[in-house]
Amino acid sequence: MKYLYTLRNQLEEPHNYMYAKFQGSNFIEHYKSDRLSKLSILSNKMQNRSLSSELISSVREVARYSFDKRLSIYSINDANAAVQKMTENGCFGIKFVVINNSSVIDLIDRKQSGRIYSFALLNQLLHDVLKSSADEKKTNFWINRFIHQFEVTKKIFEYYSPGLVKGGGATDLIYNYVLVSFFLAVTLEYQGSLSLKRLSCLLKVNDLIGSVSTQLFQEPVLMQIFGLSLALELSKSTQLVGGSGD
Amino acid sequence: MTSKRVFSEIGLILAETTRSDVYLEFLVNEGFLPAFVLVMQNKANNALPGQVVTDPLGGIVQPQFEIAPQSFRDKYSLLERKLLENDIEYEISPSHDINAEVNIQILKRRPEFVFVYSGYGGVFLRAPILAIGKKFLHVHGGYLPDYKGSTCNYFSILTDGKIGASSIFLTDKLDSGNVIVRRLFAPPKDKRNMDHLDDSICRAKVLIETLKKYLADSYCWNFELEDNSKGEMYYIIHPLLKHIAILN
Repeated sequence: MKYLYTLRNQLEEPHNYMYAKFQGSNFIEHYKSDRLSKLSILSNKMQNRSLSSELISSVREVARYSFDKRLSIYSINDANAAVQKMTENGCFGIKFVVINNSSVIDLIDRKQSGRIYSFALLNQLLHDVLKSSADEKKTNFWINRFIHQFEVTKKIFEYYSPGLVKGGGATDLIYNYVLVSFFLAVTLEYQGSLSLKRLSCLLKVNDLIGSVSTQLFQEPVLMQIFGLSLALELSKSTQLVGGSGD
Repeated sequence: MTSKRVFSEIGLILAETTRSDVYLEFLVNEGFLPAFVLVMQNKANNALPGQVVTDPLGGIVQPQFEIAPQSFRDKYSLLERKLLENDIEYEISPSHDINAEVNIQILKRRPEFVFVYSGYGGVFLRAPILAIGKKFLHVHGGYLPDYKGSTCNYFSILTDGKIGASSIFLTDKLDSGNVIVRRLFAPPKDKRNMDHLDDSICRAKVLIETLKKYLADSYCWNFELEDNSKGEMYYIIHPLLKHIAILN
């Protein structure tokens, strides 16, 4: 039995995850294998590219620790520390910057006029979160809106109406999924208590990206960000598995 | 022997699911009989959400033996046999969709004022049926207002080590009606049948308590929690977290 949720192209045929069959404790091992193999592929692909060693090292460092099959607390802590260091230094290889002054982050009320481009909003949210200048209330609002949209439609649209109510445009822009994934992963990392709702959504978004991951291979920065997100997801999930006595 | 009480103002909407079987079993055992039951049969070849292909009950809910002759058992489903045995008026709907016009018309012409709803999974009652002048009593699988939405009890096992159920009247806002009764339960040791059996049993217990409270309150619907507007909305849990909850 394989990990089923990354086998078919989820952009074309999304899973609804309803009444998922219990497959025993082996399922957890299948999940880990899936994620570790994806990290391995990303790591190798990035090694073959002419990126700066600093940029390559971010995913490789996390991936290396994740390859420890025992996934001990020591290795998880080290992986988390590595990610934290990178976010503090802002060296993700992509600059999350404020795009313009008419802030999309304030288009919360559905009665407002305007259009929110997912990339612009996610870019600004990540910029604020990584610089520790995020308004927690607004950040949580947008997290919940993205979770709702993805859980209900299984898509991230190119743009939305204010408040992320109605989506439009393309739904196959893989970078939007990668940015949502990273946004969920980073906010999971920085919050005090673990949000299972957020982790559940992150797992689904990463399943989707994993099901079309070859589309990332031409985009080193996306590979890097997805790699980090996968490593953070694996780290959080593994902590939970540890708690269940596995 | 339990005395029977027929609730002349209360009907039941059932689907061919384990949850509906459990509801009916608990009601009959308690002697609480609805005046009417609408059965939404699934005539399709594929199972609908909430239906299981294999027997999930392990002999716990299903009667251990039946004295009914084979010809009777061949003709009627378990749900129908239970209804016939207890002399409960029922109607089989040609549609499994509660929002279908045929179901709206059946319910509209019924005299019952309140309908306990147990339909197929993942279906929401839309505006037209909510506007027919009947109340729809639903038992949500989760402790309100903390856990709204789907697969709440897996999330609450992982967070609180408990599962819950809450009775509400359905509104156009998901799981946000006033709470009549809400209860917490210890999760079962073997959680593999949570989806179809244990969750249903918790809901059925709360349904019985809800009807007892209605009787105790002199046929009035009083609420344990008036303001159910807050709380967290959950979505179908990822299979990894579901496995961790079951193995926990």
